[in-house]
Amino acid sequence: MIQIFFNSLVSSAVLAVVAVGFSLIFNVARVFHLAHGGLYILTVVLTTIFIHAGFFPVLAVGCAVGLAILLAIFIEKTAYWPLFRANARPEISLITSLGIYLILIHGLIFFRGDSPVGFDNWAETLFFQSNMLRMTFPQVWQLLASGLALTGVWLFTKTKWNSHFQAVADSPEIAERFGISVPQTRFLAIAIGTTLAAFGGIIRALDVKIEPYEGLGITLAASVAVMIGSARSLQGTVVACVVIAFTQNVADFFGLSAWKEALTFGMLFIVLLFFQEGLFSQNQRLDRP
Amino acid sequence: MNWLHFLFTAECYVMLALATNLLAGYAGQMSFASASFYGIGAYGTSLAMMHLGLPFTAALILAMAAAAALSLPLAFLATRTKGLSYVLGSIAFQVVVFRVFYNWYGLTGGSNGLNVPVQLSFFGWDVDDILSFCLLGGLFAAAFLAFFAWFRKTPFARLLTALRADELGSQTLGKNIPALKYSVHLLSAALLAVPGGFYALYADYLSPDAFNLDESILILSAVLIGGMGKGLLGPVAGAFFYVFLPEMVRQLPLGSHMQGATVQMLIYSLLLVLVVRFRPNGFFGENYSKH
Repeated sequence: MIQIFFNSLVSSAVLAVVAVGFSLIFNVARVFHLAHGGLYILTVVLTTIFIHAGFFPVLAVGCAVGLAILLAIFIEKTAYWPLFRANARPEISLITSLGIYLILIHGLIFFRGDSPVGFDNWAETLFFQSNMLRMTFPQVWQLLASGLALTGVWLFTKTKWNSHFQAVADSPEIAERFGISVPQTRFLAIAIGTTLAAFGGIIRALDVKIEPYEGLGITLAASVAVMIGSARSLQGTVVACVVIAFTQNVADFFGLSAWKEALTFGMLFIVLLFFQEGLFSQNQRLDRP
Repeated sequence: MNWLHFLFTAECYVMLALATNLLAGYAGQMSFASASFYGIGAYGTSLAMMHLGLPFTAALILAMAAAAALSLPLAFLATRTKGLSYVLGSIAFQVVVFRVFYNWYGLTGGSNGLNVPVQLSFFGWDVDDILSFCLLGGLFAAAFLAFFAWFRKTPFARLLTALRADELGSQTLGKNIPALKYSVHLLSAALLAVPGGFYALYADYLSPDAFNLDESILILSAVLIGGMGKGLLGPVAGAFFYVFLPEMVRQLPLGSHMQGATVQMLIYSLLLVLVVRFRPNGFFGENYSKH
């Protein structure tokens, strides 16, 4: 049981990093950003390319994340922003994002094939082992790095930029009248969200190799967490990630691995049916009970 | 190129596109669950013929009824949510149904797939070669086209377009929106099951991978690229494009089969993004988006 809990904590930590990034973009830019998963994979591929080219690992990560942010801003400028200005329905943005995700993933596969990508020299190095618990170094790193990233996001929520995010999420028109630059706020949200996705991909690849097609899976899992936990609640998203990861690990333990995806999406379906605002929604408006 | 195989696949996709357009184009319910009902049609028809010994027509009707019944949760979701939540719910529904196909070894053969060793006989006509399948598929595709040519002029179709344009407005005018949503979901699911039944008997073998989320995405994309709405040309053009694209890509000088499939997906997704950006109504669709 302790092992299941620990494994759940590790997988939920990575999922939470990706989900919080997704939630940020979803709230501020109002885009169901499926291309998030494409950028998650792309950063890992770019990092391995830079490392093979002889870059120092930290510099390789920095360059890869930087390129992913530039690409995300290009996507915003050429695809999302024109749709937002044209007041397109959210489903239209979702389909655009899906198309971009497919371009990213199939572009990657075209150039480097569909073999899994990751960092070889890390896997299975033991950190701690007892009768009840086994921890590897990559798992400990994942926990620490995710904790650091989530703390960073939590600290960010205390800044004035977060209130700009909330204002734009609530009503871009009113935010603009109060002098908040909507394009800049969207850029910032997309840059931070992409950094989190990129970071999530890299720390995940420390432990296991990632298949190029996994991008959509992780984004959908992140979106499930955001919807279950409530799009406007950071804590809710993190708690939902823990619940999802715990359910999946318990399913693994009872030999129901094949059903864990169905369990996750079944949970989402039920939440959408009965709790449209998510399980941890908070009242954002003082004028409403 | 095997033209008869190409033609039969195109006939199936014309039916799929028209049935998907009923939900997405007429009623504005952008569902990513088309492949699940297509699969229910395929598995339902095969299992009813193999285990219950039913003739094709009865088995197909039973599969259509099963698909319609199983669309009820999705219809219920449509009455409680709209927009993005509905889209996400339809993705969840698709994933759950696919997992049932993939994991229920006792019924569907699970990931091993299902052999379908039954002969298609349609009112005494033994459909046992590819030409006969093309003729019967063509007959059904023509019936679908005739049905939708009639359907788009009915008051029910007008109600659906009103629902798409302004749900609140339609409700204010006293229209029963939940009943409308239930009806369109039931009808679309039943129609999506029809090409499934044909596909199962044509292929002789069902793999669950033919009914996954990717397939749903491609079916909806074909409709979006062709053009949604009350017109018939949009979904038909989208379906032909969807089937014809792999053949066009095959003519390109590419190294491997995988590269061919990748280029096909690249062209498809690029077109999807460009169409949504510059021609939001698709190539032959009516004015759909809020632009």
